[in-house]
Amino acid sequence: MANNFQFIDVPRLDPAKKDVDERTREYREIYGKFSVESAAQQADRCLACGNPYCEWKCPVHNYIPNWLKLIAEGNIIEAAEQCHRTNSLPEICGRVCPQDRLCEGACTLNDGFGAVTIGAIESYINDTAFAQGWRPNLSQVKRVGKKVAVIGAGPAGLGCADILTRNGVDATVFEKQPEIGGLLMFGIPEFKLEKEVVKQRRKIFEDMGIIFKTGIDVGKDIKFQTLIDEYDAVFLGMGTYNYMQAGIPGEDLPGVYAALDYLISNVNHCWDYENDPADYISMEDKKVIVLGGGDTAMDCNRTAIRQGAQSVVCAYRRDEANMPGSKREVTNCKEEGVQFLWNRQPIEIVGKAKVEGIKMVTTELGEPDERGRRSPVPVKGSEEIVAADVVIVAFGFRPSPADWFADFGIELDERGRVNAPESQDYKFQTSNEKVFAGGDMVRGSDLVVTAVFEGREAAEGILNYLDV
Amino acid sequence: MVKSLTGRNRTGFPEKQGLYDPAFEHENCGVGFVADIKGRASHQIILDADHILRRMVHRGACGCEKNTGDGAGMMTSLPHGFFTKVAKADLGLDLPNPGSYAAGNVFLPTDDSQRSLCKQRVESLISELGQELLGWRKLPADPIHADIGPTALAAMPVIEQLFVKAGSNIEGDAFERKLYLLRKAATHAIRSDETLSQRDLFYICSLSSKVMVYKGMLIPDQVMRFYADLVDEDYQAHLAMVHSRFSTNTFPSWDRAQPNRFMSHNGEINTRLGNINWMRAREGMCESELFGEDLKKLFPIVEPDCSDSGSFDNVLEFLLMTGRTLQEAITMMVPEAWQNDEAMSEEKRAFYEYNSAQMEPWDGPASIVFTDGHYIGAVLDRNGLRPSRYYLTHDDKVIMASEVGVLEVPPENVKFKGRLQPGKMFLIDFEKGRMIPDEELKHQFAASRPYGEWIKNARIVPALLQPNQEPHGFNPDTLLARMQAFGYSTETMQFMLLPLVREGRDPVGSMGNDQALACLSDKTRMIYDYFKQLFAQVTNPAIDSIREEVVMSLQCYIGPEGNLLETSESHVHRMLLPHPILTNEELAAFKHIDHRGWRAQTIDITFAREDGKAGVEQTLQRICAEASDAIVQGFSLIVLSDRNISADRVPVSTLLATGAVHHHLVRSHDRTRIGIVLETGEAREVHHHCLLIGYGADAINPYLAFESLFQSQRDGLLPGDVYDEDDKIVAAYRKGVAKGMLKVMAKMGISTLHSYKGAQIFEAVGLEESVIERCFAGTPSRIKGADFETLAEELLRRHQRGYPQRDDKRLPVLPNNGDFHWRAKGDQHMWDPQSIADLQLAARSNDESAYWRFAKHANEQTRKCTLRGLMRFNKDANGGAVPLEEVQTVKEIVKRFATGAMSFGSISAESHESLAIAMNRMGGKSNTGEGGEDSARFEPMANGDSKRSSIKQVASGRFGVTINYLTNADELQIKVSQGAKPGEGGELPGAKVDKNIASIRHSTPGVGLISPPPHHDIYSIEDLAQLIHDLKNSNPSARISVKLVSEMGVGTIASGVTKAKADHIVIAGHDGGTGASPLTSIKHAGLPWELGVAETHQTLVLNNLRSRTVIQTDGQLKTGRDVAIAALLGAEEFGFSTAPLITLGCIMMRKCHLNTCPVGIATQDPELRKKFTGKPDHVVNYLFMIAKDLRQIMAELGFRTINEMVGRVDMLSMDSSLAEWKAQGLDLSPILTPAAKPHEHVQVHQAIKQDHGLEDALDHQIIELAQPAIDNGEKVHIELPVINTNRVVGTMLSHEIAKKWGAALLPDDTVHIKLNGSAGQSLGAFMAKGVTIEVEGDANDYVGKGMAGGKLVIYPPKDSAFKSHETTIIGNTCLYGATGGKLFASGTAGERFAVRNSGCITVVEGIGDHGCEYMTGGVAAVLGETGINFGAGMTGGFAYVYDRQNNFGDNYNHDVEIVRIAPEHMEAHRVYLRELIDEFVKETGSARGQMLLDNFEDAIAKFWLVKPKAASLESLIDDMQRRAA
Repeated sequence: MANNFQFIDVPRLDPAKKDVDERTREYREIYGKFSVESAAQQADRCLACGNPYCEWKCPVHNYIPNWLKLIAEGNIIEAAEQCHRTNSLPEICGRVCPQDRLCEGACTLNDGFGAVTIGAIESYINDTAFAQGWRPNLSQVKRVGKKVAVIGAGPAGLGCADILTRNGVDATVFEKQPEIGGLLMFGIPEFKLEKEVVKQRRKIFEDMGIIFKTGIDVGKDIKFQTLIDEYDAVFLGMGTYNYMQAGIPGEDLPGVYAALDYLISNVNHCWDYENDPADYISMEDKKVIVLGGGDTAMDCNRTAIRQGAQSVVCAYRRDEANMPGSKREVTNCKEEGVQFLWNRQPIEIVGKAKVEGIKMVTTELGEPDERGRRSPVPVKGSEEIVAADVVIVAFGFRPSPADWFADFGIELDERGRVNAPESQDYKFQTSNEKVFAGGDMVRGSDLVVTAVFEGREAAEGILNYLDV
Repeated sequence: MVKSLTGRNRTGFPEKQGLYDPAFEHENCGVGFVADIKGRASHQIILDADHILRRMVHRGACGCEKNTGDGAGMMTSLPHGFFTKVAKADLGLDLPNPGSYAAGNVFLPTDDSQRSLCKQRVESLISELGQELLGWRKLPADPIHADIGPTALAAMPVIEQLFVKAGSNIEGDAFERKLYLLRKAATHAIRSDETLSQRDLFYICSLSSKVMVYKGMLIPDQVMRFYADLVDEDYQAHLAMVHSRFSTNTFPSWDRAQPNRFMSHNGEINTRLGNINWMRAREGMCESELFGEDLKKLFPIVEPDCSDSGSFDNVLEFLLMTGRTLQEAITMMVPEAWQNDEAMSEEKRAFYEYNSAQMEPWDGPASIVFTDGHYIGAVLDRNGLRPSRYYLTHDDKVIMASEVGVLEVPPENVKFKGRLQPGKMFLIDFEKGRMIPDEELKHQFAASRPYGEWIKNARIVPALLQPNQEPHGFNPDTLLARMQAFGYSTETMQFMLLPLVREGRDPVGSMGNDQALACLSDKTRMIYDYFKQLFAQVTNPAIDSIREEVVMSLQCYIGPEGNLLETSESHVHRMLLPHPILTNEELAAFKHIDHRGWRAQTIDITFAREDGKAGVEQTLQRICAEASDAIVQGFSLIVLSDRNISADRVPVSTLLATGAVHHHLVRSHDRTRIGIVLETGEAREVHHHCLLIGYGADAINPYLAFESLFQSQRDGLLPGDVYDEDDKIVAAYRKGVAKGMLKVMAKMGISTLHSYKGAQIFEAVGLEESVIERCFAGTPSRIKGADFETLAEELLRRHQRGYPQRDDKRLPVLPNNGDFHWRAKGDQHMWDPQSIADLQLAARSNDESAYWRFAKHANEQTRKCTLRGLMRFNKDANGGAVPLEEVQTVKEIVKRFATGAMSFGSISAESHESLAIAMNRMGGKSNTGEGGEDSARFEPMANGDSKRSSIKQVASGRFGVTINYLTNADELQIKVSQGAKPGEGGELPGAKVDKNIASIRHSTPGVGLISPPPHHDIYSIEDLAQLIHDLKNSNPSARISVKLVSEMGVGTIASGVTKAKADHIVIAGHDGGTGASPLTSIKHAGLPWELGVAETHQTLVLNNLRSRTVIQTDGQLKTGRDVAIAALLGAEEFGFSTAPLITLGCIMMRKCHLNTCPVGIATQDPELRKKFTGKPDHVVNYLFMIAKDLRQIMAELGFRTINEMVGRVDMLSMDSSLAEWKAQGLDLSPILTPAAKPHEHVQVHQAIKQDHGLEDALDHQIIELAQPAIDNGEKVHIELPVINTNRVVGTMLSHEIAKKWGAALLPDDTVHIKLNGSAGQSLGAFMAKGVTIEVEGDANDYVGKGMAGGKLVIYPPKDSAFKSHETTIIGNTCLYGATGGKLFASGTAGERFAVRNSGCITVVEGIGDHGCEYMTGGVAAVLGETGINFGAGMTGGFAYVYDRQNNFGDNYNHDVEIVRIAPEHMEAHRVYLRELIDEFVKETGSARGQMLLDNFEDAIAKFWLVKPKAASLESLIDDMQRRAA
């Protein structure tokens, strides 16, 4: 604790990764765990900045320097308490956040010294605390006799239910899938987030008093009006599920899949949630092309590898430096055998009855636009066709508003997002005063952690609205 | 009353207006006296006194008129012969025998009817008191002949001389008491008579059968010309005391001139407010047989509207008149530092201890001379902060003054020359016809009563009490809730309490405080945060509580006091507390005390939660009543306790409770009947404890701080092996708090907790009047703000945190408010990650749109955090916008920009040089900071850039301040205070002192460096005037700047500084940065610059001094808006520090003190420095963008130049809609009050150059004679007479040499100057190599200060009879900051000899206290006695001390190590010392030196070698010689 120069003397160290052979054979997380000593050593590299950029950059503003200090001091339990003050799913965010773009990217030490391993320590703290039997203590909380329905058990819904229940409001979460978590369960592959973690989180929430009603599709299995009638308020955290299409010829050919459908089918397959075994999309022995450069594309790449694809090629229209996905994930992909084609823009999926290949042009980066982002410009005469059996389109998601929103006066913006601004009297209230919304369906497809933040903030709005 | 244009009242002091308050006025002075020891009266005494007075003109001051002084006067024994003559001639009166009549000069109204009314009152009082009026003599006072300036003339009263005859059967002291009663009664009656518009003109200078005072608003040489009486040869006296005043204003005030009735004072009483409050409280307990019922007529003892000296005089005469002798009363008020003096006799210690049970010391720099006609004497404060030199002659004269040489005495007539030493007194007893030295005097006092016996019998000490009661220990179950409810946060533990215990001191941090002011914050803040600690600047010095610990003390008697006017055993029946922080065990014992009549009453300071906000005021009312009740019931202590805190009980703040009860009891004159003890969960930090004591608490038990630390120990946050018992934690906490509190006291120059108690050394920012009135009466709170309701709301919100209405709101952990480090949901900070990111983008890419983004965000943060945030521009007040192209160009504007002082050492070479290059490119100014500058940087670079900093700072450490450094400056800046840590010194940790830095700072690599809290040559305003004069001589073309920090009264200080001839004044905000400082200082000392700049501008304009000086401000200036507001409030130049550093890459790590700066700025680590990516361009880009921003604002507001904007507060108004909830009650109108001009043509920005009076310098003559040496290096010999008004001899010559010859200067002895007489102050200051000055005679203070080379040789006149080694030959603070050269003085030196010496080799025959303090190099050989505390903070160089009396063991500070040089292996030292003494004898002819050489083998056994602990014995001489080469 006494070494002010720890950040120089001890280099940044991630928990060891399993080797490639092992990890591509299984759907398990690829990172090992810190020992008590190495966690403390790494945490102690934190400089405790006067202006903690990590905390600033973190969407939920985690008290990162505080819990790093606690870990350096060996105080797991208080660190876990601190983690839970700002975040409903710290053990999950520690795993799935793109830290290199958030806290670790903003870390002062990232400039030439190696950022503090914040993400790994975050999951270390919470995993260890859980293993030691620590749970959020709600024994002091008195129920206030109000109840709120939360639709969607994804990060936003869980964040919201967490805060509500900590404040004595009964939260019932409706989820159309058979398990909670939303994309955490079904979208994010297990090599990034083992599903036991989500299940453990469900148990923790249930012990806190949150009621989960899974397998219930609001609007179909239960009328929204019923919820409006029976609950004091409703929170919508339903995500964005419409995938962005490539908008190129051949997109309808068999062998072209939407990324999320593909990922969900794999989880369903692994966990026996399939309605029909035929829903399973396997890449075994196939030549796979994944289009896109975000984290979802990386998830598809790596899932395909694990399914035994003959080859996996990932094509992205800008260069490596300008891709939106986490650098760490790109590295993992490369290690696991994914090939990248940078500066390629697909212009047609070719094939007769099914996908046979994809025609692409090479691009160059043009002048930066007003947001500073440089758009790719096709290079004339650079067309080429790359052979493929399967094309997975991972261009992101668009909102998927429910058809019944209009009946309840829940207004949308021009892009289909629910209108529920943060700055107003009751944060994240929709145009129906009793209905609040947050997460991807409000801001568009974004990170897990931003959804958690909005769910929590919306809960504050609800508490104020209910005068709790 | 009719107000004139400026709102001046009758006496000439303007009334309180805007931010100006006459209560802030200061004064410092020169004093002296001459007397015939045998009591023989003569007119020569008067002439001599006049001569002394006129020789101290430079210690006084005048304002904008050369013939209007600040005040001067003379006190003499009553000239019976003269009065007999004039009474007969003028009044036809036969005066009775001496002793049976009194005389006195009386200032009277100029209005005839009011004057006669005053006289009638006096006359009727005379007869009421049974005395007889003899008559009023019109005093022949001649303002025309005296050439009194118009300002003084306008305020001049009519002066008449009153003669009173003693009533029948009254004589001697009884008559004096009647006169005293008459004077007090008349003064109270007339000066409080609202019907008399000229009542303040009434003032009785003195009224006594023994002494007379003639004084007025005069300059020294006007005194005799004005008062014709004094010129009359029949005016004969056996004593005459004179005083020349330097006040911080130009307002006429005849009555503030000195001498007072019995004393004159040079210095400043820092604890005045507390002393006055305590005196007032004590009045209730005073009874006097001598006065009986009349005693009450004397109250209030301290008259309102008195200066500190006047208040002192009031109390002194009260003690004198009620039965004590003058000398005993003085000893009681100004005791020497007895607590830590182990060599002091038991008897004397008991005397002092007994006195301390009666009265707190009047603390501060003081050279006091006093007389009642029978005795004349002088005393010096415990620190020896004023010079005081005296001569005794063979013809029985005593001459005492602030300087030597004020009266020429033929050498053969001098019997003894001495100086007064810290805490010492000397007394002339005219009856006995001899001088009584300190030892004898104090022995007389001490032996007069069995003090030791009394103490033993009556004193209570905590250890005597039964520790039987269950102490409240540790309750972990409820701990968290209580910590939350009392406002603890994770930072409280992390940054304050844990480091406090671990390091045993107040924790250190870095960079500035950019958190929102407590009154502006939207979060709840502790009430302590509303208070800012005051600190000494200019008019008195801060003290180094670490290195000069010997003068500091926390020891206090508490509990009921006795009658001040009696002396008995029962007076010491009080509790002696060695430390104000009580352990739980001690508190338990106190609460249940039943010991020799002592009992304690516990008063609960909590209230029921359901009482809501009203509970606070109700509780304060209740506890005050309960406190009074406890006194009635005879309790000795009350314990204000918040132990009852719970979900249902809310404590009022302990600070509110303490202040309310203390002031309630002061008002009812009961305060000294009881002790106030606190049992508090709230107080934990040093700042809290200081406030509680400062507002009257006697002892504090911070039980929750203890508990939280006990818990931390169990959590493994304190090493279990060190803190295996809770008692050890408590002990460590107490040690840390003690150190911290001493430092806070020392910042204000206060040495003892006893004087600090109740002294209210704070200013409140944002508290409403009703709160101040009730709990903190007398504390300035200039912008109103939070009332009881708001404070109650904060308390309740905090209480909610620990005891939420709904349990589920309970946090399982401590909150983190982000008080120190920014937190996303914490309190607002000016520099948040967003603003840093935006600014770096703007500066690096020169991207204007990024700048505007930055400015928008920064202005928004400014709104949330600062006073200027609540201001808006009155766009049309100046007649609307002007076209942008008519506004002065950005290139012109940036010339007014400077970067702040950041030392090379604190920041890396790369960053330091980048700033210099950037500012030179722009035509702005960069500042060296206090670490010196490599002379290689003075040469321009090949590409035309320059790394030379145009501002060269001169700070208290004087690192690298050589004549070459000074010569290569455009501006010389005296850093009196620094925004982040005013009143503190600095420390450069050893890790940052690499080889390069050590060589520039003349120190040892790897060894930490200390800058003392005070400049040891600025203990008062006339000292500052002297340093300004010194620096001006060192570089006549540089402007001299003085850097001050905003605090109440800074305007008054600045006005004094302007009168001291500063060309430029910086008013720094409290939020400036630092490389290292205690967090207490960063957070809680100093005020926003908005207040400081506005007050300074207002005060300077009011004094018609604004046109003489430039005002610059700095403190988190970030945008054009900030600069515009600074200009409108009164500044014309602007400093930037944090923001330019951020453009160079700083990310506000707040790690500067650790050397771990990861961006290579605040570090010297070679690896980290590689990370520096800043470029001068970044700074230039940013500052140009600010200028552009500013220029647009100027156009919008209709200003074409910055000069037009200065002080235009009418362009600003406060907008409450910008304020958060707590700030709704703020009132910025004092800041926005336009400055009142004394007349229409007063200029309100700098327009007139200061007259530095350099033309009188002896150096002009010397330079002329030395021209061949300057031009061609030829040898020159010069011989001249010298007197004390020839100051800074040799400095301007040295400047000429440095200008011509650069760093190499000249070969030794090229210019040889022989001077005969008494040299004035700063002889040979900053002297260059190549110059030798030889003085036959003596010299005053600061000999050889900052000398860089050359040789100073001083020896007594050849025909003197006295022994040189017993005789003071040079004054205080000699060789301060010297970097080289030699000083040989055949005689003894004053206090603080060779302080911060870093290279000079010197031999003297004895020195005073604190010798060789902070020395980092060079050699000092002392061939005689040394004072106490030798070698404190010494980290380099070494010394030899001849310890003939074998007492050096008691006198050295344990920062150093002492070694005998007699043993075999010390051969090298013996040889070296012998050579040194040999050279010394050759140069000076010293008898002492010769004696040592003659008996060298014997003498050597008595020599000590003194060296820094860390230095290796073997390499001392080598290192020294290597460095000299």
